[in-house]
Amino acid sequence: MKERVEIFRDNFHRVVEEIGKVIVGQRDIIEGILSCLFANGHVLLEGLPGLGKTLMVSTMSDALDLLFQRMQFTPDLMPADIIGTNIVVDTESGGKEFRFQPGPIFANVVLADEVNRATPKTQSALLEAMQEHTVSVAGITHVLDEPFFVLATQNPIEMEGTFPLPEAQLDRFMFKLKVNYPAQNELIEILDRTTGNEIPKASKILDAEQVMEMRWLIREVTVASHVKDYAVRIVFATRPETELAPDMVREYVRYGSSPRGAQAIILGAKVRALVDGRYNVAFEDIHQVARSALRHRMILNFEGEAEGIDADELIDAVLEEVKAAHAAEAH
Amino acid sequence: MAPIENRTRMTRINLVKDMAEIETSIADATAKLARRINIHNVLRLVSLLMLWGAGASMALILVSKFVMLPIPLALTVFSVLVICLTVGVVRGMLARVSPLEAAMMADAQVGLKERLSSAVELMGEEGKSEMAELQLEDAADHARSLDPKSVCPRVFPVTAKVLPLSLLFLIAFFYVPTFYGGPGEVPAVVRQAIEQAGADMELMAREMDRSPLAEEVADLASEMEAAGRELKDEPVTKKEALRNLSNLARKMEALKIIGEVSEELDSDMTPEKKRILNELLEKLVDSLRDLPDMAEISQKVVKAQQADLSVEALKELFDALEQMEMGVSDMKALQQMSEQVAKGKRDIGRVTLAAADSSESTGEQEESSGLMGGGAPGEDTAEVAEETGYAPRVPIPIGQRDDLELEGQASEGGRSVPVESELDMKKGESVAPYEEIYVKYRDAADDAISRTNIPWVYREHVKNYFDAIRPESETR
Repeated sequence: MKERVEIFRDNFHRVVEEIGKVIVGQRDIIEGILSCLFANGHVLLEGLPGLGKTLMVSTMSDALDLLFQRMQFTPDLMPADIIGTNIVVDTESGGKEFRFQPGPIFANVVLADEVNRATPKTQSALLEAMQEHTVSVAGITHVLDEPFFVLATQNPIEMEGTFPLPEAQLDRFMFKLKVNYPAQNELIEILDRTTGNEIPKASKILDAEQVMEMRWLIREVTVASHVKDYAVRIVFATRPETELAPDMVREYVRYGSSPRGAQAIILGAKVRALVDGRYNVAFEDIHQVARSALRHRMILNFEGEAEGIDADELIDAVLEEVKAAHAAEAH
Repeated sequence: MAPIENRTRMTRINLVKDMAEIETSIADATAKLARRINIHNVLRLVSLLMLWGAGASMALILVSKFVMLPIPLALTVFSVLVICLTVGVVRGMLARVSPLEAAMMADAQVGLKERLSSAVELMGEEGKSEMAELQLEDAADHARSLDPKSVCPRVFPVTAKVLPLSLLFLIAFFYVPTFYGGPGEVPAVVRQAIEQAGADMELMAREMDRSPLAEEVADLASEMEAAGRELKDEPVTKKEALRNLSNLARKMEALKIIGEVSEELDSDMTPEKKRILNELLEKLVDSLRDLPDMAEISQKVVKAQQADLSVEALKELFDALEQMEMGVSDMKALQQMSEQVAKGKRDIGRVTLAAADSSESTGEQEESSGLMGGGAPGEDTAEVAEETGYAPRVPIPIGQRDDLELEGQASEGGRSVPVESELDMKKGESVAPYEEIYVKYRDAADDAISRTNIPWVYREHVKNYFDAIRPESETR
């Protein structure tokens, strides 16, 4: 087991390093994406155009020996364009029959680029696939190959003609990662790498079997009850009706996190623990993943929307509150 | 096959043994840490509370240096400290940390990232996973190198180190001299006289308890014993002591008169007997005033008087007094107790007057220029004179209340300042003639003035004072 944990750490760091050969900076985002991959979750990437979201995902697929499919979401994209459809084909005996033609969702890593540009009907086509890892067409359920991992991107500006993801859809994403502008030195490095003749490319590091092995290992990480309690408190504190909620949450939040938020925190924290060389989850791990796991699960009320409150500010307030309460109890 | 099976079994046994060792090392480390934290907590709470108690005690002692407190100071301070100690120990014991809590503290303090606390929790579980065993192993490595001092640096908190010093200060505070300046001051000689009077009364009352007495007399003896104990043991002021003695004396007087009335009551009342009885009843009503526990008798006496000592009223009174069953021995006991109380009052009064004389002669109270009234010697003397029975024959404007306004007799052109005094004296209660007292104190004052170096202006004040209160019969 010890060796397997070592291999996990080694593989994780190797993939990060490999992606880092193409992507400059954004280490937190890369680690967040990999955490979701190994924790059997999905990621929603949000950032302005041109920050390398799509490149990051495609580079990751290069580093993983997995089947990668990219879907550009547009308003006229139909559910059948994603999940596939039954088509009439000629049989060898000269007859005709309906045969299922799998859509691009039948892959290991699926990039749903600009997911908020598709209609809600099309967006919802992802729901079953993301949650159940199956696709139902014409009454027949098709099981998707494992590992199945959805990466969706969306643009926070140019909201005209877009369809914001409904809460139920957002809740399916384990993490929502915000891609920020690169720093000055990072931008120089990007220029160096992308304006020359040699374009760096990531090589294959992990295959599907190794990814599945790593997924299994993560579930084995121990979580003490007081650590679980801490995570639960954080999730409870995001709900304005609870006693734990800080004033800011009461003022600006309409709905807090669902239980999936707590699951996302614990799974993400387990990955962090293993990457850190530990066999148990620490409070620190929970703090590290809390923003990514909760920011898309906090639904603001009218005041929050009107005042432009950032969900990250609310989560920081929640973390402060829970940390203070925990420290007071321990004292 | 057999050797392979044996080897597998041996490996399992070794693993179990290793796991037991791992768990033991974690348990030992956390238990050691918990013990240290618990000791620290108890000491911290105890010392904190005792510091608070010592502070409060110091404040109390400080106050007692300026104001006489009606509580036994040493016992109070001791009780406060014992209570603080007990509460500290109990709270400390109740706030004991468990090994899990100690492990959590270690995680937080040393940055073990919940390794130890997770391990402590896992230790109790059955059928641990491989990952859990690895976690325990990892935690054991950290637990072995864990220094309890890094989590709880000091067993003795700073408060515990400061505590002995504060207790020393507290003891030292007891030896700070008192600075009484108010009316509550009781000079040592007066205090001694009060205590002596109390001790004598207590002793006599105890002797009385041994002999069979009527219920009322026995109650009075018990009351005298309690009053004596209070004078002896409690820091009562002179005024309080004299007031207590006066109350006792009045009750005794009332009982004595009741005895006399019982003897005079007769079915065949001649006018002469009626007159004597009437006088006795007058005295009795007077004595029973302000004695609520004898209000019933008082009402019956008044009723008999109002009925002009009719046969029915006298019979009712007779029955009531008969119920008290006071005999000769009771009267004798009453007399003895009464004399003892009177002696106590006299002694306290004598010592107080002597103390006042002494302070007058040494010029300690030169500041009191208003010798008549506001001046300390005049006031003190008048007050004691009233309460001890050595009262000047002065007009009493309101005889039915405790607070009297006493006035000296002003000569022509002399000043007159009223003296406020707490006492329920009545006319005709003085046992020494005013003239006698006047002459005695005037001579003492003359003697003191002639012997000591007193400024002329103050001599004049003294002379004017004695001129002002000179009795009419006195000619100088």
